[in-house]
Amino acid sequence: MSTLTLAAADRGTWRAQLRKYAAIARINLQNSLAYAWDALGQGVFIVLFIFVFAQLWQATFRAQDATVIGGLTLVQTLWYFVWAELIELSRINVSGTIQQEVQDGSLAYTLGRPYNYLLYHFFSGLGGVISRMIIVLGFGALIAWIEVGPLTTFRLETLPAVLLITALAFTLDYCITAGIGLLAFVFEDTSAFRLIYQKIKFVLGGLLLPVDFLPDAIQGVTRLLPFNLVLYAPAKLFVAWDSAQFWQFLGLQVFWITVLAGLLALAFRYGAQRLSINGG
Amino acid sequence: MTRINRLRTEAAFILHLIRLNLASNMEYRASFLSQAIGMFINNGIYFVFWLLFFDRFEEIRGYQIQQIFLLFAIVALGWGLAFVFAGNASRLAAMIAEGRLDYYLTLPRPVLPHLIFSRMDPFTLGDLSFGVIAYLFTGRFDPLSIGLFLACSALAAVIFASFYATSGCLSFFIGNATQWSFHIANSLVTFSLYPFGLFQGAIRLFLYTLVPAAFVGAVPVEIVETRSLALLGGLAGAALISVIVLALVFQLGLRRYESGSALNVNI
Repeated sequence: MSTLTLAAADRGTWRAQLRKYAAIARINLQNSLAYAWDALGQGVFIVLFIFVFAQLWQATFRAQDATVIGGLTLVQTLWYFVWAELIELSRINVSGTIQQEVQDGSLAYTLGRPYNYLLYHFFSGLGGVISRMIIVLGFGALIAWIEVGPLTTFRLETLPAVLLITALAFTLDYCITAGIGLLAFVFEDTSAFRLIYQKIKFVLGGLLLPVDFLPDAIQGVTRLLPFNLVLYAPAKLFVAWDSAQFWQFLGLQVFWITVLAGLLALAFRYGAQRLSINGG
Repeated sequence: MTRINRLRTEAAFILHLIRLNLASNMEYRASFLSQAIGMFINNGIYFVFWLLFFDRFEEIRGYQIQQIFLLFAIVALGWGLAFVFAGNASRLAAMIAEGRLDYYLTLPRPVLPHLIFSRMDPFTLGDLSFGVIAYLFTGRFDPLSIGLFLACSALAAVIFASFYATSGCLSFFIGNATQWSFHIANSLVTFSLYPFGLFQGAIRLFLYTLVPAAFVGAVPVEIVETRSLALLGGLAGAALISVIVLALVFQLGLRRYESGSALNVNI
């Protein structure tokens, strides 16, 4: 039996679907490796950020004459930023692409293709995530090591769980950014929404300040919103593992992904209907 | 034509370009305003970080929240002024890499000013208004302080535009440097928005020379606080040097410029 007939035999099954999207991710990974020079730029970016944060937090810990702030030591704080920046710099940045495809109408051509538009972009983006993560982590870990030394609290056996929370964080972020891209059906330009979402993550997501450092009243609200699950949750578990917190983050991530993915599918259906009206 | 007349003609041409840019942006009013408002909110949220930080830690290396208000006011207004007028300064790397300088090379105007003043970035109106409003929180309403604030912001704008355009010139030398130019230029803003006391030793020298973040953040803050006209003169000198460096690097790079075969339409 030839490979061709095998492929034809399981066409439409979940296994064939999985193979299709895995192939999309693989092709994009190869593509991203061809642009390793640009990915190196992300590495330089994290060096810059971690260096600045190292100066800021070393000065802060010294000024407070503290060894622990918000439950984290200086070493944990800096490595927390490495993991949070790793996610922010490696994430699937899809909103600009979707906006472009909505604006120039090229989205209409993808509707007839044998894949789900939103899943296609997710798996296509996932390919690039892996190469960016390796480079960004390499540079980030190097500068953090130089500034404050190794993260001694990290336990290798917790890595699979941290990676699971990180993978779900990428998925959650994708749901939000793809939703922002689809706003192009309503607004002409979505870059303002993109910038606002990015800055919300800076503060409520824990990119500039771990959520534990926020005032109690703000912390309460922040922990219920999805933004801290994108950056704070994986970064916190990476530097200070807590089994109870892991299950809490996992539950909240699954809840928000279900809600936002549902909204995303509805938004796409609404947009696609508008597209067919405008098409011709 | 005398040198003075020539300068006057070029200044009038640049003013004309700015008027055209504004008129062109106002054709898409909704998009223009949404981007400006979006940038204002964006800056506001970023500022919340410092509010929360100083709420908890009160002071860091001589900086309190009042200095941060002033720092943000100057950097945001400087940035806003730079790219409201010279919107193409931040897009130079891509334009060079895509061979889009041909249009400017064929016209009887100095290439560099024509190129960088040919676009207005609508986002920057949000920065501009944010800078002015942030200044209101500093409580410095005497004429000298306001004058120094405006003068420092204008000089910071010159440095911002020159530095962005200079980093964009990398495309002349290493091919498509869009990403690298973005990262280099972004480092200027990143360093400028933090209390300068955080940086010690060799990094300070770096921030006064290669990435002149001190001249768009810390030095202007010191000028407004100490009312030092001598320091203002120093800042003006730094702005002049940044323009000269840009002109030299651009001239040098332009000799290496190769036109592409792509058809570009300038609207």
